[in-house]
Formats: sequence, structure tokens, C-alpha cells
Amino acid sequence: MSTGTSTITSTATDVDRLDGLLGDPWDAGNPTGFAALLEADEREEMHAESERVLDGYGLNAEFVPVGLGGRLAQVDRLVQVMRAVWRRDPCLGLGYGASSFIASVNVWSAGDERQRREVADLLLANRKVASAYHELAHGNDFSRAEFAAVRDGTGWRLDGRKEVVTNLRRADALVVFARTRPDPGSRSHAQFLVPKAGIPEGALRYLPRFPSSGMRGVQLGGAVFNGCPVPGDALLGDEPGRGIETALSSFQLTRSALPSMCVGVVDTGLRAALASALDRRLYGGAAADLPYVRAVIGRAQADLLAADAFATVVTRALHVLPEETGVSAPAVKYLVSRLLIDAMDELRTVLGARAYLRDGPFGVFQKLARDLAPAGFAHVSRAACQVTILPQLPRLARRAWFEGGPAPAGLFRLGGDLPPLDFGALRPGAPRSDGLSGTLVETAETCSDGVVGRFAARFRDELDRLRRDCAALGPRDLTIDARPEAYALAGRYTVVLAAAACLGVGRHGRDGLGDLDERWLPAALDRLDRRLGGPPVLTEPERRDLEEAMFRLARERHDGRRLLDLTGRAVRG
Amino acid sequence: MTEPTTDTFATPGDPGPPGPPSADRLRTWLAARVAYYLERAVDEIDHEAPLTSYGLDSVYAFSICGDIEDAFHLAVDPTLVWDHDSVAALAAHLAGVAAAATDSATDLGTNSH
Repeated sequence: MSTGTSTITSTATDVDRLDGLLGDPWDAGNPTGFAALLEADEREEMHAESERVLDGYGLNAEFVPVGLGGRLAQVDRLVQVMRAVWRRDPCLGLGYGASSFIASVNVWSAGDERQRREVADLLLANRKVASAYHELAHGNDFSRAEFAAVRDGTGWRLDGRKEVVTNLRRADALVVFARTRPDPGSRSHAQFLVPKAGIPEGALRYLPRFPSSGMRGVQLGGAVFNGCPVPGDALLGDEPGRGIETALSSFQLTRSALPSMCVGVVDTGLRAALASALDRRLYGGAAADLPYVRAVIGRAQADLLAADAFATVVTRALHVLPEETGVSAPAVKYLVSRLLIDAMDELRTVLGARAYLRDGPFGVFQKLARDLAPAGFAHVSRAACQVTILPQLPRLARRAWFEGGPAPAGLFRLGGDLPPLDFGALRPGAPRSDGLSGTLVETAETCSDGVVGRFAARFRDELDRLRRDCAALGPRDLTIDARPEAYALAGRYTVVLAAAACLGVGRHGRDGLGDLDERWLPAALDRLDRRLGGPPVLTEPERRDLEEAMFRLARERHDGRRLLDLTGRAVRG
Repeated sequence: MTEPTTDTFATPGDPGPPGPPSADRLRTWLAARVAYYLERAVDEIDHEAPLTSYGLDSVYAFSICGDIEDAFHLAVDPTLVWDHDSVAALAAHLAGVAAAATDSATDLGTNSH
């Protein structure tokens, strides 16, 4: 580990231990390497040997709050550990790890002491908990969920179908989202913590898995509940009707943390593209000598850093600015998933035909590209995130943008300690403030020099345009029926937030970036700016220089066996 | 999206004279907000009807809570509209909150917000 990354050594122990256990993924002889993972994927199975290693490490402890005996203290650190899994195999990332995380967050948010203890004990014993929200008929519109919980004496009876639920069959307990009364609105649902052991014969029937193009090893399942009895104390929360509230709180964690984990997927995709370009001889030289190839790799490196900065800052905001993550977390899900999927698509052109091979040293690329695709629609879709952000915009335009102060500097000090996570502080509703945009405005005012200053002014102007356009949004444009132009405003706002996060990290977080080339910042900002369109901030020679600098960064990190993200952490491969 | 509109209802509207708003004034104001979000005439809004029966979902509920905070400088729970699901019920609840906030502000000699 280089001295440059010494500021994050507080997590380095755990994540380095996990990396050591899993070994160099590129080593063909490694029983938990890419060759073995690809074979498991061809069999459409979870990789059993890797799951044993993760059991040995106790990955589930990362999801359990420290107060309950686990290792969850900071969400950004949880993500660092999970990236070590996602960069090897997203099926393990989701199917071994994140699905239990998604389910458990409901319990940490809304469960009582006994329920929290029960789920903590299950997870710490390497068991799985499944999150059974999804009903095919209603997609992301879970307030229309029909799966019913009806009172029966002191307990409840569950009736209905849940589909495309990760680990439904092998989980030891389920968090089931159910309608507790027929009335429309947001007080008609609840979550139930249902241990499988208590379910009588015949009350739960499993449905066959849907064949999928990606995440093929993940055990996605469905089930029909038929008058399934659960005791009264299975209800999460003191009374029924809190289900939507609990979901909207819990999702702030998952909508920011999961996209951040997926940064690891593009780390490997970029590494594969670079290895291919260095190895491939074309027109008398290496493909990596071609300007086009260098530019694509440089741009993907900049995309990865922009995605990392935004996602990591918002996972830190869960601790520091929890009153704002109701907007910034879906913004991460919306933009970061897109940035990462687009980066993989562009890298495909570097690999050429190799991007289609299903085995060999580059076979992992096609698997990762398939496995990454659900980042855009799984758990919650990008469109649903836009619908969440849209109604907040008029009020933010009226009273937050250019009005409030900047976010605290500590938010941007990546790797730095944070105040404890308060699950109760993550509330649904309409944020009154927007510290990230405040940081953008402050940066634009104080830093007017150079390329970064030009970008700050550019994004500040975009925020100003958004203020005008969003203040004018009519009531119909705040809903699912909004015009495409209104949806576009929500998208543009997420780009401004990402730019603000990058600027904040550049301004306050340098100490946590080690030896990272400072040109990462204008390179990342340029990639974000290109998503807005408009006149370019950079001249063509300036852009070429930045892309070349980012290519060299990727090359150095690849050769030096370090992660391509902002941590630059040393890895086995 | 081009020029800002001049629609005065795009902002939360005039909360009226200073001092704690009465339930009647709150009713009038809330009915106007609900009519705005539904794009209907204010006299079509039944003060006793559940807002969900108009199709006002959680999206609007958060917007209305935000409008209440901005217009009356009352800190309200974002799920308020879920629990007091009609113009009349909301107005009655808010009148109580406003009176209590004014009392405590007077006691402490500070503004309630």
C-alpha cells in the first residue's frame, strides 16, 4: 500500500483481508478468480467456493450495525468492502451480499429491539434475509401493492404473490411488504419480518425463476403466499400503516450505496479493456497506442471517478446531511447507474470482438456488462428516481438554491470519520435545503481561476437556469404524467449535484486522494458537462490533454495493481 | 421550458395577516393549494373528502407540507397529510399547531421558525 492512501487505512484492514482471501481474480489458477466465476455463471449458479470464502470472512457483518455486533459504522466504508466483491462478481455482490443489506435496513429503521437482534443474529451466522417487496403488476409503484396482510386474532394472514425476489428460497427470513388495509394512500402498508421456520406446510409455494440475461447465478425467485399465518410481533413498527414511510427512509441508504458498489464493476471492465488494448497488436503497434483507444479509456476513467465522487459523497451525506438524502440518494441511483452503464458500453469498442467472448482472459467483460445492466432498473428504476426528484424541484428552486449555505467540508473528506448513522434521521419528505448546490455556488464564487473555475461557473449557471425553469413547473409536471421537458430538468439537476460533489472533493478532500493526479477533477467535470450539452467549456486541445492524463492514470493504476477509483487502494489484481 | 410563468399559485400564495392562522383561514388556503395541484376550481374541493380520493398521492402530500412550512413558517412532519387526509382535518390540526407554536414563541420571546 502506498503512503498516498494512508488516510484510509482505518478501513484498509478489513477490505485488505477480504481481498487477500479472494486472491488475484485474473490468476487462472485462483479457485475464486474470474475463470472459476465465469464457469459458475455458465452453469447459472452462485459460485459456491467464493460463497464459502465470504462466509469465512463474515461479509454479512458489514451490514449489521456496530451496536448489534456487526461492522456497519459508516456507509462509505461498507461500500469499499462491497466493491471488493462487486468488482469480482456482481452475482456475489447482490446474491450473497446486497440483498440481505436491502432487507436488513428496513429492520434497522423500523424494527423493535427483538427484531433487530433476530436479524443481526441471522446475518452474523452467515444466514440470508430476503426483501420481498416486488409485485410484477405494480413495478416500482409499490404504494399500489396488493399483497395483503389481514388481521387474524392476535396475528396476521398473508396472501398474494411476490416475484423477482433475490434469495427468496434460500433466505432464512423475509421482510415482506404488504397492504394492511384497502384504502388508497400512504398509510395502508406495512413490513413484516417473517422467519421461514414458522411457516406451515402449504402456506408458501415457490414459483420458478425467470430466465435473465444477466445476474444469472442470482437466485431470483417468486412465491405465492396462501393464508400464511404470522404472529402479531412480526409487524415492523408499532402499528400498521408505516410501510411506505419505512420504505422511503430505508431506500435512501440503498439507492446511494448500491450504485456506489457498482463502481467496482466498471473498475474491472476498464482494467479488462486496458489489458486488452495493451496486449493486442494492431497496425504494427499496441492497440493502446491508438489515439481513439486512449481517449475511450481516458474518458471511462474520468466517468468512473465522477461516479465515485458523487456516490461516495452522498453515502457520506447519509451521516452528515440526512435531511437532504431524500433527493440526493435517488439522484445517485439515477445518474451513477447511467454513467457506469455508458462507460461499459464505450469500453466495449476497445475490446472489439473480445467483448463477446465468454471465456478466456477477457471473458469477464461480457459477464460484467450483462450483470451491470440491472443497476438501471433493479431495486428501483432510474425513471422512478426521476419521479421522486421532480416534485421536489419547485421548492428547492424557491428556497434552497442560491439561498442556503454550503455543505460541511467534512462531507467531502473521503476516508474521513463521520458522525454515527442515525436511521431515524432518514425521513421521507421535502428537503428544505441543498448543501451540495451551496458548495457549488460557494466554489464558483471563490474559485474563478483556471479550468476548474470555468467549470464551476458553468455548473453554477446551469443551477441558475434550473432555478428559473423549476420554479415555473406546473402541478402536472410534478407527477408521472410530466412532460419529457420536465423529466429532463430532474436529470439535469442530478448532473449539477454530481458536479458539486466533485468540486467539493477537489476543494476539501485532497488529503484523502493521495497521489491522484489533480487533473481528475476537470476531467470528471468535463464528462458531466457533456451530459448537459451546450457549448464546451474546454478547447479541443485541453480535452485531449485531460483524456491522455486519465489514460495514463488508468495505465499506472493497472500496472501498479491499484484500484481505479478515488481511493487508489492497492489490490492483488 | 422557457420563461417563468406569472401564475401566482406556483408559489404558496398569501398566507394572510400575521399572527396564528385560524382554522377557517387555513381551510381557505389549503383548499386553494389542493385546487392548484389538481388543476380544478377551488369551489370543487370538498373540504371533508379524503385527499387520496382526488388522486393526491404522496408526491403532492410532500409538496403541500412544504408549502405549509413556507407560507406559515410552521415546521410540519412530512407525513402530516397522510395522517390528516382532508382539507378540514388538516386545517383543524394545523390551527392547533400554529397556536401552540405562537404560544411557545411568545414564552421564549423567539420566532417559531
